[in-house]
Amino acid sequence: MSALPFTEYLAGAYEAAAGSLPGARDAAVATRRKAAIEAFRRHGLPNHKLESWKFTGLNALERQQWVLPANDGGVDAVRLTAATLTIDSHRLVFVNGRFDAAASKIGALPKGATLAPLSAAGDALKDALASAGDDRTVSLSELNAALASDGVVLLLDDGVQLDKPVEIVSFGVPALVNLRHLIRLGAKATATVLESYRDGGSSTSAGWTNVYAHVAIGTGAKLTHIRLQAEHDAAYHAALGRVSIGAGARYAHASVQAGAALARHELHVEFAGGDAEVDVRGLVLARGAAHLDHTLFLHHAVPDCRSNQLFKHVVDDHGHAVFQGGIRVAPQAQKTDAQQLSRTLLLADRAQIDTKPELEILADDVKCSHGASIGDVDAQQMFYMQARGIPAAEARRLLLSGFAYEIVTAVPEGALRDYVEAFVEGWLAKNSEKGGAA
Amino acid sequence: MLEIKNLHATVDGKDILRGIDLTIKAGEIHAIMGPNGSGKSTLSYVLAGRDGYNVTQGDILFNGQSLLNLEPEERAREGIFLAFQYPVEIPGVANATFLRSAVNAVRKHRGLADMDAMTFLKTAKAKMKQLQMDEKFLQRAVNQGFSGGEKKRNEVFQMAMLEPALAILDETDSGLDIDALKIVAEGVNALRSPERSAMVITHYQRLLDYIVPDVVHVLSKGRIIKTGGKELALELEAKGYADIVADAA
Repeated sequence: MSALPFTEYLAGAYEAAAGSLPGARDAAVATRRKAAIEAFRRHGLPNHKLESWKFTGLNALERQQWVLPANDGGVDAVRLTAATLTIDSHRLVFVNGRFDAAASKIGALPKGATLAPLSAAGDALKDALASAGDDRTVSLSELNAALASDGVVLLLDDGVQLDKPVEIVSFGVPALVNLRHLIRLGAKATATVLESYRDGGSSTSAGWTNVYAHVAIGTGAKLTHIRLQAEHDAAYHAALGRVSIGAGARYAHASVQAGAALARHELHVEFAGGDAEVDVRGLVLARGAAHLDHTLFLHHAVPDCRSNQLFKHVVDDHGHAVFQGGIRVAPQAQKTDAQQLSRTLLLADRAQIDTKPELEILADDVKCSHGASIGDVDAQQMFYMQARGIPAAEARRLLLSGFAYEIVTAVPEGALRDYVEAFVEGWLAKNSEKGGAA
Repeated sequence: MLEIKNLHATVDGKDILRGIDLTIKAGEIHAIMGPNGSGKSTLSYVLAGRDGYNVTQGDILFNGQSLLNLEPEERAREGIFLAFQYPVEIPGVANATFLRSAVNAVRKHRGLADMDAMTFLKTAKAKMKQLQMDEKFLQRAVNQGFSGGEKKRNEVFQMAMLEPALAILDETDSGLDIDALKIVAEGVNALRSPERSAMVITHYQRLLDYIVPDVVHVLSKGRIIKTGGKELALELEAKGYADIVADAA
């Protein structure tokens, strides 16, 4: 055990790695990274004293001596095929936190579109690193800014329509992997992005994947953003997304978390122009000792915008799900329509959910609602299916699949939905085989 | 086929069935009539094996085998089908997915191979046509947003697909207009054969004009107080339950 405190340990790892990180020879980048690691040293990891970290503790991370990933490795064809879409996409694969050109296939892009790994993004690297978290999230985002070894830069000029999805796949390793994404859509641009996180170490040696995504959606633009966290049962995963949405823009986000020992996906969305719409849906599938957290903060800073949050949780064994749904409606944000619903099925006695709406409504002419339900699988529905000859375990699996359906159907129909659906069905089938809590 | 012997059952610690004796032979249709609260629905749930419906005395034999230790799904696979008085809605699960799971569970029990998706669709569509159901119902979530009549028709559709040896129809006529009633009755009659039996639970004689029973039983306070032929149903319709219940007391 090192005598050094955790933050010093990581600062040391930064010093050792700094020269080989993307942009190391650029003075501005080096300065930014240096400032970021200093900020992380000052703040340390977020702890329970922060309201937004009340239900999720990162102490386990401090007990490990994290190394940064080695600059080697690859992914075999079988694992790659299993983790990727069956259709043609703009695919960027990251192994060990680094772009794997052999496994990737960016393909032809329309005029006005830039898509590149962060490590080869040129000046966009500075933009990607510039973005910082606010005081609730600053520590992980600054650690990420200091250590980001790669990620994706997607920039669309005004009016550019990307027909094929952008597919980002990360295979985590038993190390601290920092990926950083920058997605910027010009006015009336459209894109679909799938992020998929796999592996995250092995059962004996956990990895920690720390992701930061900055998303800016221009006036009238439309982004469909699917996120699948399907890491190894021992992995740690922390992700922060910061999204700004221009007037008349649409942001549809679906987040499925079904892996890792401890994971948090935190999403901050800010409306920057009127008549914009956000639909955020999430599905947590937690079993074993998994602790899976979705924390949202939707800031209605301007009038006439709509947001909808629908989160569903299936928690088995002694799993623990967390949902924090923050909505702030600024005094000037009249005619806001903000809806939130959290629904949970607890399948075992020791399964847990902390579900917390946090609404701060400072305007008076708004429509806001929130709700939460927690229960077990419905006994009447079970009996109805069993009375038709369906075995209890299968009836349960069908009911859970029906429960997840509203989230799965938020994904556009076709190969993308098939991909998410197959993953969810696979998880449910595996859970049903092990006997669940039925 | 079905022998109910001195059956006593409780729900929430209350005695509901207090000694029922009833034998249904292969090919027969028995009607169970009786006032509200007489135990008709409880009898159907006890036969189907619902949790919380506890048999405290007696036995139920189906083809000579006691049902009491069988789970609901095992009873269904043996050939018992309960058409629910209040069919349950299952959001997010397509009717086709649900029914195909059921059909294949029953087929597996009978030593038959799974019905493939094509054959299933073809069979299902043919049965739906007979019941004048829109094929769209296959892709809709089980019973969700169905009208009362559509739900009942969906029950009969499931029955037609599963081809049970013993069908128990729990007030399948309630909430149906006369045209729907005829279609549902035709669906039931289409399944009639020397090997199949049915127990038709109903409040009113009307359904029995279309599904003609061999035997009619009157249930009151958890016991069968009178048994007769189909003319008993007409008598009940004319006189009401009060007289018969009073006679039996």
